[in-house]
Amino acid sequence: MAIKPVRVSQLNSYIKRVLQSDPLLGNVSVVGEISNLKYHGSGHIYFTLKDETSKISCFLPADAIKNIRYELSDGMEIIAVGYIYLYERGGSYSLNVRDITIEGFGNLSAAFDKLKEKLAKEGLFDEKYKKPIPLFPRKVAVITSETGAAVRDIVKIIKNRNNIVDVLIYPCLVQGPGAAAEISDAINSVNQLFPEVDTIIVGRGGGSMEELWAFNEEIVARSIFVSKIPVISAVGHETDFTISDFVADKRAETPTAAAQIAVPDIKALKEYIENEKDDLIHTIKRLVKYMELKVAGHSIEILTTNLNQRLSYYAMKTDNLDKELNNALVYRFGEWTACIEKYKIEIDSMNPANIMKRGYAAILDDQRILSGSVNRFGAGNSLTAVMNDGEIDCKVASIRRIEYGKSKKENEL
Amino acid sequence: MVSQKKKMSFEEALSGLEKSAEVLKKDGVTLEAAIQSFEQGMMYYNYCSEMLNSAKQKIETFGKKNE
Repeated sequence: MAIKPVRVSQLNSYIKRVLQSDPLLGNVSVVGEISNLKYHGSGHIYFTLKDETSKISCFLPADAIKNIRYELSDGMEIIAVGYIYLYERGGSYSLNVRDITIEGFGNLSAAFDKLKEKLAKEGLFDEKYKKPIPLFPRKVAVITSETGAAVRDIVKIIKNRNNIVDVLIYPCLVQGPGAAAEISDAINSVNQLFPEVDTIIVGRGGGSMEELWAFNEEIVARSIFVSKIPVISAVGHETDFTISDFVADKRAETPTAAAQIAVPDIKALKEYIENEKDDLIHTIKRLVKYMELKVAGHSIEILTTNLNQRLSYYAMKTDNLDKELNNALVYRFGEWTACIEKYKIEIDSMNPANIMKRGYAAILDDQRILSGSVNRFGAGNSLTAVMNDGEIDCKVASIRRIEYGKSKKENEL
Repeated sequence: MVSQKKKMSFEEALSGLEKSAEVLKKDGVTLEAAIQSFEQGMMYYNYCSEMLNSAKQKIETFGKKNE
């Protein structure tokens, strides 16, 4: 027999009671692919979980999000753990999620890429935030599993290289659900309790992507980012890259490499400063020797030699000038001699003796004055005719005037 | 000089040593400057050397000794 009609709210209330009292539905794990992922302003996350033929609405309350170790994205296959919840006013049910796990390389890679992109966008990987790793630390903190291979390797390498630096091992879980929170706490604690620590090494030895996952969680990345002490991230092997590596001040390929980066090799440093010291001594010795040579170069002997060299140089220069002057003078004399010879020939041609040789005579009066005119003489005067080879004393018999160059007729007038 | 020496880090002393050697090798350095650089360099060297020879390493695990 059918029961009497009930109100909608009564029906929903009844269904809710049935659903939520079912032991299986109270704690169920569901495998499916995320779609319609929505981050609500209230901090809650809504999404749909689906397989090939069916789907279910899911609700991830804000206070459960901090337990989630993965960055979610559409298309990612997850295992959602929670309970079935009925929303009475809408008459719809959903999976109220408490925890999410992810398996498989593809899904983990998707979560990795999503977080990497998110933190990169926030600037957590920016070079400008990277702190330099101190060259000569006094104390190094190692945050890792106390029982793992990493801590042994790190301590061994540090002791081999350096017998001065103090090492603080800060044990924590490095894999499993609680690991990320412990690593994060450890980084924060070292900063608070041991501010004298110069460098933090955080990491672990090799393992699967799932085993290394704690170093891909946001909470660890944020602690590394806010650490005032420089952090070296050393997770797994050379080929393993984690979010911690990107946000750390320095990535070491392995824990062994981290130890090498964190502390200097004291033996090498000693050699280096010995070399520097030898260099100093060598240089100062060479400099002093050089200065000595320079001072010796200013001795009286050297100065005298220099001065003598100078003097002979100038003497030679003076000699040369003197020779040049002489040559010039000789040349000039030659010129003048030639000139004088020319005049001498001219003068010779004017010599009266030469004219006399040709038959002419010079007539001197009784005073022996050379006279060129008959006007100075009268009949009966004495005169002397000077000839080429002697003189003749004469008496003027008569005078005839003749002008040479005029006709006989004119002369007779 | 002494109070400065106490506060100096290894990095500072090392770079001081390197700088002294550099100044000393500069062309045309005066003898006075060279000797001063040399003395400073040796001071830095002694400081570095002292630090490098002060082996008193301590390796501890957090939580083990205080409990």
